[in-house]
Amino acid sequence: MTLANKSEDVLQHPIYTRQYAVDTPPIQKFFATVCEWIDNRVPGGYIHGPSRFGKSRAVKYWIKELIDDHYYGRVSFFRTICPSLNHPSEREFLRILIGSLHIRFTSNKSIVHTTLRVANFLCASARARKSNYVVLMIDEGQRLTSVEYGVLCNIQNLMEDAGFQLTVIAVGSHELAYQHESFLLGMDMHIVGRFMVNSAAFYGIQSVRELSYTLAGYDEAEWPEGSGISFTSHFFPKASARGLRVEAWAEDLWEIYLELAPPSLRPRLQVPMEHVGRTVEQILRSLTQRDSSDFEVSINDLRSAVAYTKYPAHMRVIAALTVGRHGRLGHNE
Amino acid sequence: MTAQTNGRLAPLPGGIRPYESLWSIMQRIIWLNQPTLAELNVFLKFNIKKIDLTTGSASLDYIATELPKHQRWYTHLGLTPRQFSNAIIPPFMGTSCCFKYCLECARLGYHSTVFLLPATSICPAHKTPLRSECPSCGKYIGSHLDKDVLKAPYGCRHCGYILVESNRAFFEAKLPTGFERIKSAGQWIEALKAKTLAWGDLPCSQWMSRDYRGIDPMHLVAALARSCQLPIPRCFHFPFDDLLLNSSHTTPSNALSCKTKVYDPDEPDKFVALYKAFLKKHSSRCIYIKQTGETKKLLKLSDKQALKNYQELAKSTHAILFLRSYCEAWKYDHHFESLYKSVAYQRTRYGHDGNDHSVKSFGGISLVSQNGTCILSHKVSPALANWAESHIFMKELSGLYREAEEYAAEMVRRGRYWSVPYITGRYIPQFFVIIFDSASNTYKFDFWSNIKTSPEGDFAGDLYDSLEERERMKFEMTEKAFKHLVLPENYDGI
Repeated sequence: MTLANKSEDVLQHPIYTRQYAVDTPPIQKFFATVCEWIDNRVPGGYIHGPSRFGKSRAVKYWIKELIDDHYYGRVSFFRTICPSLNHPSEREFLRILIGSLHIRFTSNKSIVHTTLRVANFLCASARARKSNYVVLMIDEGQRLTSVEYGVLCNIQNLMEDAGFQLTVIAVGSHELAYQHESFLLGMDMHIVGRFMVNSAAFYGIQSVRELSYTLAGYDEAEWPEGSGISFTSHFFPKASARGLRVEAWAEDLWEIYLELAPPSLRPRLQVPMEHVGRTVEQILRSLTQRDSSDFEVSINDLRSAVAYTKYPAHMRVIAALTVGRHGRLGHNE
Repeated sequence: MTAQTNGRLAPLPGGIRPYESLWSIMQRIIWLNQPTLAELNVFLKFNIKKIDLTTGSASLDYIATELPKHQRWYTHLGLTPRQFSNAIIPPFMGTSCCFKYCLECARLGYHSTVFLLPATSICPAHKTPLRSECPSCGKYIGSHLDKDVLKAPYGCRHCGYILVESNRAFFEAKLPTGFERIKSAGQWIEALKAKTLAWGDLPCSQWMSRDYRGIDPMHLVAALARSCQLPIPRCFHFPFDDLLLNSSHTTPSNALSCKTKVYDPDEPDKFVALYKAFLKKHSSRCIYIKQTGETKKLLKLSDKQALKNYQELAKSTHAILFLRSYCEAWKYDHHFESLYKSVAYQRTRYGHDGNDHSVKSFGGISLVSQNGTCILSHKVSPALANWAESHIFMKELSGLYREAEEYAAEMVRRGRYWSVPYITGRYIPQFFVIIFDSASNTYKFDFWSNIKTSPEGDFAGDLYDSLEERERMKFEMTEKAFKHLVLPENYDGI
């Protein structure tokens, strides 16, 4: 392999492409909540959390796999992303759904037919798994309006008629937590009753222990898959051979996060996963040149990496948004 | 919006069920996926509107001429070759009179290929008559796929009535009660498809014992000649009058007095030679096939085609008799006859002058099936025409057999044989044996194994010998007469 090819290959590492997600305690809690809803066959629910907390990555990389493992492939799981539309329309939302579900036929038939097409597809997928249950997770759920919820209602009704159950789980930023109030004001009781009775918050990293659990993911995740080369040993092969672990940075990092957070958030600090991930990525990328058998990451390295992620600024925004309204974060739970 | 090319179809609930018809599969796919006609055509890479699996209309020609395409498109549906083969009417059965379905099965979203077969008029599972019309508006449901069907899949294109009980039935994909009987019939037909049949496998004593004495011998000779790929004698008349001893239809005097038939004493021996050649050729062929199971190496294409026709005929006769007896109490009736006529109509266009007046069409005449549905007559493919000819030929051959049987009976009456022949294998006139198989309760014809001929020799040989003897006697008498005659001076010996 030539040098150029090798460097090109290295750039395909998930740390560079950001196509990865490490397991975190919030994801486990998120999954536990979803499992509870699945077991209860609830018609709908929503999971909210401030932006950059890792909700989308959890939906994209973890939830389907965890559900498949937990329910032995008997639960059909689909996900879609709700786009931001100037003029919400049933047709557009159905088009997005058809695209997300990878349905073969995409023509603009009438709304009734397209709705039936989606409902049939979901039912048939469930039937193929010898089940009558489907979970549809909608990321960016805060963008769902009464129009989209209407479409979901129709699909759910059609599926009910055919003997199938659909659970719609909206995952979105903290605005989602207030949305049911606006629906209630608009007299959309049926939407609230169906999709908004169940809710849960998606937390950030809340303790050293959780941070340690999260960071351990970098010591365990392998690339290429099954190669036995962890992310840590890919960037610091010598130090890793000696015993360097990202997991060991947890206490120092937590101190830094506490230190740089606004005082109002410190008592119940939740570090967004985005900043944890970017901090680690920054260290792995920038310090890989210094790899040696006696290489250690200093506090200053960590602090500058955290500062690089604009953590303080983001936390100030969160403080302004959430603490300003409710006095403290995570009021729902 | 551009068509998504990497999308997937909704998985068919319950998969392809055993012996489910292509119609049912397509309707279910359409119902599940709600495509437009254009999308369906793009997806299948085939103009789906051209497909009709039941009627002998122009679409059959399309399938025949577009067979490679027709065979290809099913792969896009995820069907295996076997599933596809079981989902359409077997080739030897030709086409059904019209699309038929069982209402009880349709309520569960099931429709079987067995329902489409020409001889089936009762659902093997429910024992209810099959229907062709919509229960709501009474119009013909049909099996074409067009944009109207896409609006009401598994239903009536005219009024939109859905045959399936509820949407739930589509997903539950239950099999009807008594499905085992449909499955057995399907398996029987499937096994028949794989079987190599030859002449002797025609099993129908009922069929063969029909009275076909009214058949024009001209047809028979023409059919024999065509089967042997031999030229048809221009002016001939086979002396059936010698055989039709008890026939009220044709007497020697009638035959001679018939203006359209010319009695030519020189021709019978030509026919006999023709007939012998025919028997020899086909018997040896059948023996060869039976022994080796191989038809490809030695047989010429035309021979293979001829054999294929006979096989198809035998198979279709098998299947019709089987289905009739399996699904209901079988009896020879007008429907059965019209069924044969509809596929063999072309051959009735032959003239009485011995010339081939066959045309490549059904002659613009519509036939009315049992259900009152018109089979539109259009041009037919050469394959179908050939097939129809073979049907007629075998029908005529059965007539010959009948005549032979009567001939034998007459021989007994005259004291030449010891006992009256009957069709259970003890006696056989000349060229084949009928064996009663008690295990399967069927009759089988055997053309090749120890022919149980009478001590007097075989049928054609007898006939030939008797004619030869008659000619010899005529010659001797003439010779004797000539001895006493004085030739005129200008006699040139001609």
